[in-house]
Amino acid sequence: MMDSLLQNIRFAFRSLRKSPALTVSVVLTLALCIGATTAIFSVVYAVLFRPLPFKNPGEIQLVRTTWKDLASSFSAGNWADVDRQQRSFRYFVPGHGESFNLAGADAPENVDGARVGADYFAMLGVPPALGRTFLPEEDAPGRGEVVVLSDALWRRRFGTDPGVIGREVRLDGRPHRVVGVMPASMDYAVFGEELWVPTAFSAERLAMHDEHYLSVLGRLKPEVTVFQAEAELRNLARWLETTYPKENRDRGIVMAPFMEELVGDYRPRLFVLLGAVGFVLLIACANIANLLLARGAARSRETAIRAAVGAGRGHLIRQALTESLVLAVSGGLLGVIVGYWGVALLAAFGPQDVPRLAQARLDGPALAFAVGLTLLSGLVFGLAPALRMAGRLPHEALKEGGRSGSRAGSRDRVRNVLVVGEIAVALVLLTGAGLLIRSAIALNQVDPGFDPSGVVAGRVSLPAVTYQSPEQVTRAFQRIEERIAAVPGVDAGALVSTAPLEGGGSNGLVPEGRPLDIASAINSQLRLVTPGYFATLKIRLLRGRTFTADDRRGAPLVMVINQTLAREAFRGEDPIGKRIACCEPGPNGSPNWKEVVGVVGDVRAQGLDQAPEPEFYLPMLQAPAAAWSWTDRTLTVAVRAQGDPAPLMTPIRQAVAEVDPAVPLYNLGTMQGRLVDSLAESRFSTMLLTVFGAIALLLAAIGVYGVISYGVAQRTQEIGIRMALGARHADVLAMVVRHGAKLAGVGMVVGLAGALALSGLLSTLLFRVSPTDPPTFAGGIVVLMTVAVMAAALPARRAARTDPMVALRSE
Amino acid sequence: MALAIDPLIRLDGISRIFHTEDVETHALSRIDLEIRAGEFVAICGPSGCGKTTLLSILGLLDSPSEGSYVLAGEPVATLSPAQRARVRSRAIGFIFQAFNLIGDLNVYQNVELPLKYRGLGAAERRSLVHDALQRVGLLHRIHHYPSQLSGGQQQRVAVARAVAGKPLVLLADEPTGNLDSRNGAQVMELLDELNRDGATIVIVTHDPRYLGRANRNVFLFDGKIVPRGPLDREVA
Repeated sequence: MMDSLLQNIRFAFRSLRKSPALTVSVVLTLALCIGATTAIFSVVYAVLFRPLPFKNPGEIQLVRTTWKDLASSFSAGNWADVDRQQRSFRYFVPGHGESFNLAGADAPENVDGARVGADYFAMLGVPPALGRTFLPEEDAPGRGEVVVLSDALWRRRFGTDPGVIGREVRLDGRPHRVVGVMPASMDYAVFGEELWVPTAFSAERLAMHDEHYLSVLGRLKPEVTVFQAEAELRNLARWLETTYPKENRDRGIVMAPFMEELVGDYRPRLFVLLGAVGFVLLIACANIANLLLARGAARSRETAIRAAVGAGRGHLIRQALTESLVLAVSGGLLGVIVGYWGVALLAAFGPQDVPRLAQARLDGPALAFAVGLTLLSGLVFGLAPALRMAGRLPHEALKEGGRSGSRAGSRDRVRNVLVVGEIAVALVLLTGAGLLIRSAIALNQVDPGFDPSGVVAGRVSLPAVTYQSPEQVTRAFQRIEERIAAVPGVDAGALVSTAPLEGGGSNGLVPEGRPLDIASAINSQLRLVTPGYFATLKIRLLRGRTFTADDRRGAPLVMVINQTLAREAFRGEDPIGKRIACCEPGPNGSPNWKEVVGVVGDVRAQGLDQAPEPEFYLPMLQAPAAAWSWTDRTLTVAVRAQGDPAPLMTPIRQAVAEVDPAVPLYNLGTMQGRLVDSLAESRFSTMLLTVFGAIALLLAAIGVYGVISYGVAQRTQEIGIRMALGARHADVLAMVVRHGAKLAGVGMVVGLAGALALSGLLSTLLFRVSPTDPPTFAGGIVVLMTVAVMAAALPARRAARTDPMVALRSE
Repeated sequence: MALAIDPLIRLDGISRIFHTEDVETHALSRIDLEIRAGEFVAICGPSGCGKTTLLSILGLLDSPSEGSYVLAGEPVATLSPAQRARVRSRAIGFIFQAFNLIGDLNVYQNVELPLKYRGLGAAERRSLVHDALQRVGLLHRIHHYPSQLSGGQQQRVAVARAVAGKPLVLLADEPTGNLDSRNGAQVMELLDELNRDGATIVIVTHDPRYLGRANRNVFLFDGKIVPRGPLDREVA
C-alpha cells in the first residue's frame, strides 16, 4: 500500500515535471488563493472565534440596561442595588473606560484606562504577571489610589522594569502606586485600556440612580442557566422601576455573551469576506479542473495503455488524484507563506477599530484550516479529471488516439459546466462588490452636517486634583480657547464636550407642555460648546441664533437644538422661544427650563451611516455643575485653519501647554481624517471584496478562454469543414464567440439566482442601496458578459484563421 | 445544374509551390485544364502527385502560386477569403473521403449547413435539404446523428450535403476510400446518377474500378498532367 503510494507520488512528480508551465501556473494560482483564504480565515478566527483570554470566557456576560428599548448603561446606584440582590452571577463587576493624564519624566501622556471593581480580574480569571491586583479594601474612596498596568504600557512607558511594582506614578495629577502588571493577553482586552484603577465609588455616588455610564461584566454561576439569569434580571429591572420610578421608568436589564457584544457587529462583514475569498478559490479550482481535464484528454492514450495492460479503475483514480494532491500540497505550502504575509498585511493595514484584528496571526487553527483547505482543493479540482480519466473505455481512447474526429461537444460538457459555475460564482462576487462600492459612494456623498475641511481637533483633560471647582474648569478652558484663537493661521476656534465622531453622552429632556416625567423625556445627545463652535465647524443655523459671550452663568438659560429634536419636540411648531427642561433639577427640585434660541442643521455625529439623533447644545458657561463630572473635565478643542491645518498642530499643542504644561492635548487630528477613518472598516471590506471580484472576473475570463481555446483546438477539423462548405471568417468568429456568450449567459442565470439568494447577507452592510439594486446587477452582468465575450474572441480569431485545407488534410 | 458557360472550369498555367524553411516543393507545375459543364472527370495518380492540391485549388480551399483559374467565366484565383467563401457556398459541393460530417449536428443540420452559410431562408433550406436527402434515400434518417449511421450512409449524407445547394461543380476526394466495395459502388452509382442529371463532377481517385465511370481521366505525376501511357501500371 505504502509502496504503491510512494510510486504514485514519484510518478506524479515525474509527470508534472513534463508540463512545467501547467504545474507552475496551477501551483501559483493555488498558492495565491489558499494563501488569501487562509489569511482571511486567520482574521475571522482571531476576531470572531479565538477564545477571549479569560478563564471560561463563555460564562462572562455583558449586562446592561435599556431605556425605551435603547441601549443604556448602569448608574452606580442601580449597579449596587442589582449586585446586592442578584443570585445568578458569581461576580457582577462595574467598570467604565476613562482616559488619564499619565505624568512622568517625559511629556505628559494621555492613556486610555478603565475604572473597575476590585473583583474585575478575579471575574475574568486572569492572574497578574507581576505583583497583584486590587484588594477589596482598595475599592473605596480615599483608598483607591493604586494602579495596575497593562503589559503594553509597562513595556512602552517603563521598559519592562520589574521594579515598577510599588513605584508611584501620577494619574491626572494624583499619586497612584503601581501594584501589578497584567499579562500581554489583557492588552486592550475590554475597554481598549492600558491601565486599571479601582472604581472606589463614594457613598454619594452609590446612592445615585440617574447617571448611567457603567458597563457591568458578570460571570454566571456554573449552575445557573442563561434563561434563569435573564429572568432574574427582568425581575430586578421591575424592582428598580418600582423603587426608583423617576430614574428608572421604562428601564430594562439585558445581558449577552461578552464575546458577542465585543465582536458580533463584525461577523456579517467578516463572513462575507471569507465567503468571497472562498468563492475565488472555488473558481480557481474549477479552472484547474479544466486544465487537468484538457491534460487528461491529451494523455488518454497513455491511460488507455495502462488500462489495457491491467490497471484497474481504482488504480487510475488513485494515480490521478495523487497528481492533484501533489499539486494541491505544493500550492498549499506556498499558500501558507502567502497567508503569513497576508495576515501581516491585514493586521497592519486593516481598520484599527476592529477588535482583536491586530492579534491575527497564522497560528495552529489557521494552519489546520490551510491543511484542510489544501486537501479539499486537491479533491475538488482533481476528482472530475480522475473520474473522467478512469471512466473511458480503453479501446475508445486507443481508437481516438489514432485519428482526429470532428465531434467535440459531448467531451466538453464537464468543462462547460465548470465554466458555467465559474461565471455564476463570479457574478455573485461582482454584484456583491458592486453593491458595496455603490454603498461606499452613497456614504461618501452623505452630508455630515458640518464642514470638516481645514478643521483640526484634539482632546484636553483637566485633572480633578488641580481643577476642582466648576469655575476653575471653565476658567482654564476659556484660557485655552483664547490662546488657541491667538495662534497665527487660526481662522476660528472653539471647545465642545465631544466633537462629531467622538461619541458623547445623552440626556433625557422634556419639552414644555408635556408631563414632567421620564416617560415624556426625549433621549438627546448633549454637547457643551463655546460660542464659536457652530462657526468653526460650519454647522448651518436654520432659525434663531447661536450662542454669544453673553450666554453665561446668571443670564437666562438657553439652548440650541438640531432639526431632528425640533421635529420630535415641537412637531412643526416654531421652536424658537419655547422651553425645554433638562439636565439638572432647578431650585427645590423644580424643572430647570432652558429657552430654545436657535435651531441648527443635523450633524451625523455618530458616523456617516448613522441617522442623526435628537441633539442639543448648551453654552459651556451655563453648563450644569455635574456636567464636568459627566465629561471628566474633558473637552475637544476644534480649530479651523485659514489654510492647511497640518502646520497648526504644534502651535495648538503649545497653546494648550502655555495654560498648563501638565495637560496634554491628545487624539489631535484633522476632522477630515476622522471622517475618513470612520469609514475605514467599510472601505477596507469594500476594497477587499472588489479585489476578490476582480480576481474572480479574471479567473472566469481565463476559464472561458481556456474552454473556448481548447474547444477550438479540438474542433479545428470541424471548423475547416465548415469553411470548406462556405463559412466565412465572420461566421466562424460568431460561432465561437456565441459559444462563449452562451456559457456566460447560462452562468449568469445561475449566478443571478445565487446573487439574489445571497443578497440578504449583505443587507446589513449596505447604506442607501438595496441588496437587489437593479443597476448593480445589470452592471455586473454587462461587465461579466463583456469580459466573457472578449475572452472567447481571442480563440475565436484563431479559429477564424483556420485553413480550410485541414478538411482535406485529415484524410 | 449544368451551365451554359463553357468551359465551366479553365486552369491556365496553374502552379503551386510550398515553402518550408529552405525547401521549395512544387506540388503542381503549369497545369492547364478545362472542364466543361456536365462532365465527369476523374483525376488520378500516385500518392503525392498533387491530386489533392489540385482539388483544393479547384474548390477554392487553396490559391495557386501562379496561373489563372476561371470558374464559370469569373477569374477566382485572386479573390479575397470572404469572396472565396461565398463562391464555395454557392458554386462548389465537396465530398470528402472521411465524410467529414459534423458529429454534433444531425443529418438534417449537416445537410443544411452550406445552405445556411449561403444565407438562404429557413423554408427554402428545408425544401432543398428534403430534396437532397430524398435523392440519396436517407430522408428517414433525418434526425439521426452521424454516429448512428453506417459509413455508406454517412457518405450518402455527405453527397446530399454537397448537392443540396445545386452547386456548379461537385468535387469528390476519394469518396469511396473509407467504404467497403458494396457501399463504394453505391456511392459511385449515386454520382453517376447526378452526372446523368447534369451535374459536373470532378473526382480524385486511385481506384481503377471507378476510372471507367468518368467521361475523362486526368493523370497527374509529379505535379504535372501526363498522358496515361507511362502511368498505366501505377494506377492499375
